[in-house]
Amino acid sequence: MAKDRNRGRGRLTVGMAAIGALALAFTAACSSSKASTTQTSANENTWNTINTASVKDGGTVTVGIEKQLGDWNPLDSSISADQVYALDGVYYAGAFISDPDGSVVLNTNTMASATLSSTSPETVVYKIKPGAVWSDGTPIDASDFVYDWLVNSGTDPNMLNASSTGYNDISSVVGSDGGKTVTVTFSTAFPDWKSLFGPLLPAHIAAKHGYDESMTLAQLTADVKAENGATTSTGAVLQLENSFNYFSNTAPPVSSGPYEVTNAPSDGSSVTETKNPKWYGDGGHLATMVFKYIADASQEPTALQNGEINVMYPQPETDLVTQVKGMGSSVKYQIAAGYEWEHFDFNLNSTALGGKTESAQEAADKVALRTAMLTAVDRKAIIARTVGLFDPASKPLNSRLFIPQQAGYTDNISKYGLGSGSSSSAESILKKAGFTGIGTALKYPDGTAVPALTMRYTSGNSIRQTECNLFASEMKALGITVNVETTSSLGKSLTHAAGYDYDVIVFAWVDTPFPNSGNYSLYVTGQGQNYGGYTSAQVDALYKTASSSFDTATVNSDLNKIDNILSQDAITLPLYQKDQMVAYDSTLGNVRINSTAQEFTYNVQEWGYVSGSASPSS
Amino acid sequence: MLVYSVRRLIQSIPILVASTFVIFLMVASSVDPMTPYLTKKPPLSAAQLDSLRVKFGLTKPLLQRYWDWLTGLVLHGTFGSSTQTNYHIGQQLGYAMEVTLRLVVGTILIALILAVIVGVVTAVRQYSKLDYATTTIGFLFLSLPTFWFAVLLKEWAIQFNEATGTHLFDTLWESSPNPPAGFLPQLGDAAQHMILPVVTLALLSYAAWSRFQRASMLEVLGSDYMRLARAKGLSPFRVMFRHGLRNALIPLTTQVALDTAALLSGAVITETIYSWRGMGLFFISSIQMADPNSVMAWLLVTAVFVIVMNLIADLLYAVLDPRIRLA
Repeated sequence: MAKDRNRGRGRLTVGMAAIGALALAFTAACSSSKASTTQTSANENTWNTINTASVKDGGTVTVGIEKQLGDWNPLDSSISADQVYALDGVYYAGAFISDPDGSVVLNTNTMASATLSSTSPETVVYKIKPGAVWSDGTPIDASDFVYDWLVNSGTDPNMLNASSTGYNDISSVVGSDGGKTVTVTFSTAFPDWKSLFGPLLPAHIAAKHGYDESMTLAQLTADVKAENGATTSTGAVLQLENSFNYFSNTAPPVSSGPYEVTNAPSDGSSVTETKNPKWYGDGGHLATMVFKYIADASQEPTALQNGEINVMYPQPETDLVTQVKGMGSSVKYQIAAGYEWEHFDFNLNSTALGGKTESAQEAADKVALRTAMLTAVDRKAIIARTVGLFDPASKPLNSRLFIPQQAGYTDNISKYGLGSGSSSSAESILKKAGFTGIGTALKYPDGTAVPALTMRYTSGNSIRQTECNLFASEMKALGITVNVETTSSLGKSLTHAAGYDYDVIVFAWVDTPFPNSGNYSLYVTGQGQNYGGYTSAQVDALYKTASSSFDTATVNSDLNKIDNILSQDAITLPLYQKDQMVAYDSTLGNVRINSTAQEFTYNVQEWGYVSGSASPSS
Repeated sequence: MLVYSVRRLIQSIPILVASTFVIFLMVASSVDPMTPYLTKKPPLSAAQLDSLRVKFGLTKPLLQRYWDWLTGLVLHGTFGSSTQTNYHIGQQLGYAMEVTLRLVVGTILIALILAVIVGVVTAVRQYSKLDYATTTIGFLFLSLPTFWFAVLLKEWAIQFNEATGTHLFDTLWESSPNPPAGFLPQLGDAAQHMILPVVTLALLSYAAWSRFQRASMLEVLGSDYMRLARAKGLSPFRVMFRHGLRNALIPLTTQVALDTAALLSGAVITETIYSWRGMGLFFISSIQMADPNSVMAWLLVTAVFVIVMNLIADLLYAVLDPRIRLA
């Protein structure tokens, strides 16, 4: 029996070894290298033209998205980027669109013109093309502008619209010329007026779901005031909310874009769009577009390879990019630095780093400490250990208010030595300010110890974990203890909820093509996203000037002055722009990255299978 | 048996209520539906955030929130409102259960049949070449991480599709985005999508279950009553299946019942890799969307699965072994 067992063990070992070898060989075969995928590199000269091609009509494109589709209202605060992708084709056209290079241009399919006719009071005249109609044949007209204004005006606190910026400065929206001319007058100057009236909702559909088309802002204001802060609205206000919520809960009943929704299962798993028969603009080549939910972004490359999807737009990560690179010539991809940028922020409410008042934050020792800390940060090393692994072109971002593809971009970071990783400079700053215990246990000039600092990153984010660990080790060299901890709720941490608070935090901002209004709430005293509690009378004053100027050069100059002050005050350090990636069937033309909020589907009417190619599904 | 079943179900109600209370406290303290709204850019106004807190019921005391949830469930059969727009928890949960059920039924059928056959054969032919081969394969599957095995299968499937110029294997979803018209084509489409995830789960489940079955069968084969049955002159088939297998199935029944409850709660990794929107993805998505009532709904249904599957296992004991009396 013992002999049998030994013989059995021997056979078992041989068997397992054989199967193990087979499995390894199989794995190796599966991962064998193929011809490299074509990368079309986007740079500032080719943002708007990359992958331009003459395309033929017909065919189906399936796009993988990473969130289930639930909210259909592009003006709703709960809308996600994935929902924007799916809606771009049927958009709910707007006055302007953001091109991939960040320039904001007139939506010439829908609009004939949009002109700033006066700066005092600010007046903008929009002219809608006569042929622009909703897919049910109703003309796109001034009533749609009025509805957009009312729901975005910020008058009703129970209206969960995404943003009231700019809309709350409008005093009137008046239609003329049969509704095809719209005159918008502002009570307060809003130079970023091109950011308004993006997606227009159909007022005639809203009217069927509660909206009273005769409603004025004065009436809405009076009705809201009469409710005296009630959390549940009544009457006409409630009806307006109901119409807004109708668009959130219902797949677009009409379209003003090249496609219309023809199938949207209630489980939110997909949306199918077919060509809008009343489409009045250029293009519209594809017959059908399908947006389909994929739970795990890392599975998108195999789906693309297997022809289950034709386009994917994941957040690039090392493994994913490597996988796409090895997929052969049937797939093309683009990677480009986008509008989202990573940064370290100090919590100036913390007495270790500042205090709640401007004088406390501007105290020489606190400014020196913050400056030394940010000087010791080696941004290049951070990039090399994180995003640089899959994008060697990734480099430090040197502005907080502009990204390199914007006209106002100026280096306001490295000239102050911030992010240089120079520990000698950092030590010198500390010594000059009277700090002791440098490199061992740092003490303020008055002899008190610099307390251990808490640094947080979003749990599960390995890139941020690396960033924080590098930061902590660099601070240790200065004699500062930084305890790296996770946060399960970035929102709670940023709003300083008990148990979630921080001294230093890493997260990302998503910039917009409007650096003025888009960043106002980040650095002005008391604004909603000034999470670190920064306060500077100088910055507030400069923002006030910039916010009322219609001269781009003046605005850019003011914003750069602000950025310089932020560097001198050392309150935050931009690290790098986060990459964006799009990978697609190589026979698809005109698919390109658009890292603005308009996203990569901004030009779906131009998409199509390249002329002469064999369309995989027509 | 009916009385026993009803009594067991009634006994489970206080356990369920108590567990929902504990779970509610845990969910309320760890899942904050305001999280996604606090970091919006541009930011929501303070009034809008207050309005959301009212909408989500966060301004009420915790006990009242639990009472509202419980009475909603008992009196109206609802799981409470979701914090996600246009999201009906009951409807979504129902769909997720259907998807998971499809996956689990296919998995259990294949895994159970394979496990019983292999378990019995390898026990009867202990230390044979077949025994060594299936044991090796079983341990191989047992040692494979699900995610690795699933990804490997997908790679193999894609290579097969490419090599043959066909599209036999689908690597994602429970059906095509726009399935073909007609019942039979739709059935074919669904079956095609089932192949890879079912094979993944079935082979991994089979590996464990076949070991259970083999061990149990070996124990039974050496027992006195088996010798007695053979001594009485019963046919080998009758001895093996009537007396042997029936008793040897009892331990496997417990294991399969527990594993089925776990599978019904969602095979998170498999569902994620194949993008099957079953119970596993429902749970993950509910956590990601910081939707407390959805998390509660999932946990409640999962608890019911465990109770029911345990009850089924107990009932099956009585069927398999007449000496077991349920009282």
